[in-house]
Amino acid sequence: MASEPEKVVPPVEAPVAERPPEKAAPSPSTTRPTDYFAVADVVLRLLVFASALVSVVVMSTSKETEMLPNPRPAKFTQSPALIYFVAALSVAGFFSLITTLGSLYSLIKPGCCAKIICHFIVIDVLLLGIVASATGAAGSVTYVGLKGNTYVGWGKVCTLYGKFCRYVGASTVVSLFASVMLVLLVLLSVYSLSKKIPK
Amino acid sequence: MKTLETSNGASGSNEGKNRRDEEMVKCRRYEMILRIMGLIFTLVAAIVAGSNKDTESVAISLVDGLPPLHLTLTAKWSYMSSTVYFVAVNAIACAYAAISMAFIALIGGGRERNWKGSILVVALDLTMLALLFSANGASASIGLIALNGNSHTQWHKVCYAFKRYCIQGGAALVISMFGSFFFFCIVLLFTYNLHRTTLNY
Repeated sequence: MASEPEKVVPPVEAPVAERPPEKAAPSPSTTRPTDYFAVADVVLRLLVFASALVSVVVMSTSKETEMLPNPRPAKFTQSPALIYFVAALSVAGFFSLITTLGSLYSLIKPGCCAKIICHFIVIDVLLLGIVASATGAAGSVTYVGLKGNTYVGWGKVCTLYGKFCRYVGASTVVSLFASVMLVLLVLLSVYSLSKKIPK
Repeated sequence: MKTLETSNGASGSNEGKNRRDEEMVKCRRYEMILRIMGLIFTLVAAIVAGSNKDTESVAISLVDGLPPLHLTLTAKWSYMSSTVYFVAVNAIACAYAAISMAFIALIGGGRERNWKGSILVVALDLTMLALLFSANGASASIGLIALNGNSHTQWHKVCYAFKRYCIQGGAALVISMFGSFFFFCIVLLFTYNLHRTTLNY
């Protein structure tokens, strides 16, 4: 009782723990537990963006020149499947960047745009389709280049261009990882949304 | 649909509950229709691609001066790994569509009460979607190489000799693309259902 006027005069020196009981209304934002779903959402989206970026960069820098009688380069632009791969993953990286920023903003300011987060599920499903088809296309071309096909007379390419094949293979594996992350992301969004259904 | 959003959301009111149940029944019917269509299309794609066999007599000119050799060559779906993958994935998607229809008909009830089962179905739906899209991409890229060849890697075109094989493979690809579109619609329908039920709180 006697200590209360002392607390009023120097409010800065009063410990923080004693302030909330004096206030009439408690502030909910300081005592809410961490929203793990939102944090996991941002982390997964960052992973998707990072793996899409890595795939595109690795595929674009996979040029290799072999000195047969004439110098013959192997680039990703020589195969339409690999061009489609780079294009599709760039689109996926761009859209995943946008959704990452959106969910980061929603993490900082909770409850601001719940509807938009709901619409991100549709974007994620679309991105899943695009990334999966790009992975399949690049993977099949790489597999034929690796093993060859005797029935149609297509020879192995990877024995000659080792570095090119390694880069293209690594890029395909990283994009496979990106599609797995996208599946987990959609599942996480669906799960967190289903938690909000009134019983 | 609009009337649901503008109602005051009191779950005790009978009229709102009836309308919600009607929407639920409609959504389930649409989902069943979509799954049946997905099943049919992936089944047809698997059968069309799996029965792809063609025997042709191909003229190969080894040396310019001599007349060309006529060889009898066979093109079969099992000779190419990407067509094997395509047939396998379409068969798996067809089987999954049948099993998930049976599963949904069995667990029945409202989605809100049995969300563990419905999350499992959504997870498998997404996996099937990704597999189907990747199989489509693989088959399309190999088909393109077979059609145009690739001069940089010395892969020669094949479709000029095996016309029926390539046309049948292309038809299977188009049918499978329709089938994967239906799988995509199933996931979208689930999301729409979820969005609709979370709005009324």
